[in-house]
Amino acid sequence: MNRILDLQWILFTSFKYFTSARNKKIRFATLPIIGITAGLVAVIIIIGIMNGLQEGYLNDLIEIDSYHARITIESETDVKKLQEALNDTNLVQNSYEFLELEGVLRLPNGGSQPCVIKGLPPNIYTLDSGFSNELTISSGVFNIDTIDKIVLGRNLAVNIGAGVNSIVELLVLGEGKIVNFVPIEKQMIVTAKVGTGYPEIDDMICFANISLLKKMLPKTIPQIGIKLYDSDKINAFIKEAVKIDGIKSVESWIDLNRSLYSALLLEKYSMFVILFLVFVVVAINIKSSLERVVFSHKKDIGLMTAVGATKKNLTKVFIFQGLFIAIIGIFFGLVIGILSAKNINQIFLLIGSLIKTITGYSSRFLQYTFPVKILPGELIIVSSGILLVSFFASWMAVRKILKFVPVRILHDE
Amino acid sequence: MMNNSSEKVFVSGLVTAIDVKNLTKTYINGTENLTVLNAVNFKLMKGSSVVIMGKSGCGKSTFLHMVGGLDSADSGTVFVAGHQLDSLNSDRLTQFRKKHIGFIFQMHYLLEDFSALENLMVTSMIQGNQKKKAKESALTLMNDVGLSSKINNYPGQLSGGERQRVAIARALINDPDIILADEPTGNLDEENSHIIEDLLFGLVKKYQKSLVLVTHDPYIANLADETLILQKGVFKGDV
Repeated sequence: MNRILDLQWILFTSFKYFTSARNKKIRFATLPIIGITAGLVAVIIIIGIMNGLQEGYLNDLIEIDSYHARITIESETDVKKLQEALNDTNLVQNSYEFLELEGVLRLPNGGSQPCVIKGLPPNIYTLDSGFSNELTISSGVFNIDTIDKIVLGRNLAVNIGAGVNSIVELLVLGEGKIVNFVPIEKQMIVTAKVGTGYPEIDDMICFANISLLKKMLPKTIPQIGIKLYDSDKINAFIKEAVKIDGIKSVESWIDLNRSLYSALLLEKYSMFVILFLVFVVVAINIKSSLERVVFSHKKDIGLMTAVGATKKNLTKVFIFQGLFIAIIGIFFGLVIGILSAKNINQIFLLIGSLIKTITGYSSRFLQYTFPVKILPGELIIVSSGILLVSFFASWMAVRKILKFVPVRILHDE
Repeated sequence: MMNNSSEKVFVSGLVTAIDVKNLTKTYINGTENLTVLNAVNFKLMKGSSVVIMGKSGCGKSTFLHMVGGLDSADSGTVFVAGHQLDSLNSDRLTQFRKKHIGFIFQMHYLLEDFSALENLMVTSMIQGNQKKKAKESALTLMNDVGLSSKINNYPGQLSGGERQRVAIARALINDPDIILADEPTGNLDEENSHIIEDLLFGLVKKYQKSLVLVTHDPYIANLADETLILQKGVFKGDV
């Protein structure tokens, strides 16, 4: 009860000081509030774009390349029964057999290049909406309904000089040990050129009917590609999947892309740290501002100590002012930051047209459409961090109150 | 009722409000030691008022600060409202002041960022009162000091006499046992001084408080139960 009553006068006093004409005159809160707002806007926009790009990249990878999970099965496993069991988990949206091999693609009288060939069900484009959504068709129609049709990554097609309806030769190494490790060749017709926007994928990948690869490599057991309703529920899925008979191993999209996933996380954390330095500068500003405020209220501190306020409570009066600064800065930062991030492409276009009007120079960068993804959890972490830094800075500024001798202050005044 | 050359006892009830024994305070000024209080004894009963006079720098304010728990002695003991002040740590001294002491200073020391009413309210809230109750008490006291029409004025919008009236109201708001007033009229003209002094003594009587008042103004001597002169570190006879 006492603490609540203490808090009542502390907040009352702190708010009076915060809004007082004297404080407004020295504008002690203006710069730190602008600093926090500007810093938070920058964090939200930069991390939002980074999230958008990273998520886009990861999405492409897991929808087209690695899937949400890959299941390796025993040779005698009944795939249809396994798929039924997987569907019973209520987590799986799609499951299908696939084969993935490294090979070489060649255009007769043209170029040749190593490639990764993915053998997929002939109806993959309609079966897996995640796959078709992430893949952009540059030309042709995605069609692998017969074993002599192939779809090429657009960079791969450009590199070997192939277009739609071109005849290409696919070469893969045969199965087995050294003695029968011989190449197998197959002529195929290109039905489409597709792209993800990421050269690492578009340079290497091509898609063919899984029946072709099964025929070329009859002893190789296909894996099962899994698409979940929610890729974030991967751990729950693995927990269920390992209980099903006939499964040798399950790899999640995180396991399959671990180095990339770690690199993206590291990149994001590094950016967080760099951007957080803005708030360290703001904290220094809060500290020096509050020091001025404490100094200008020295007489009040002496008086309130004389009438029974503890020094600890008096420090809280001024710490709250630091926190008011942080709360106001966070509020404006969140509002402006979220609105700016959501409309960043329009803002860039506007900047681009302004630059073009003034200088005549047209920047391609500003015409690019950036994906933006704002994660509420990250906003909470950043806002909490700002509050913590502001609290620490305020404490550093006001701790000298504990050393004040009231009688000396009153005497000096 | 002088017990010895430097002890005074004032009786207005049966309970002792202040009991000071052999209080000594020495300031070191460079190489020189200045003893402002030299084994002072002092006793004040509940409901009494005493005026302390003396030359500037003779130790009147120091004595007041020690009795109010704002300063500490080199030796001797101070009992106020049953508390031995030298045995209390900083936090307990703060609690003691909050409960038992009302200060009035020569410089009014009102909080400039607060209105007259809010100055009283915040003092009451520091005592642990809720805002609503603090406001009620503040309004009553503002009325007592004749400033009910200026509750929303800030100290800068009040005259010197009005500010001191607010300071008096503030000293009374926590219903303390003892009021310690350090030259409350020191900055006022004679007319205003007398108004403030009459008001202070009237309110002290009305609310049955003990009062120790430091002043240079001989007019006040007529209002107090007793008058002391602090000279060369000890209290000397009546004025």
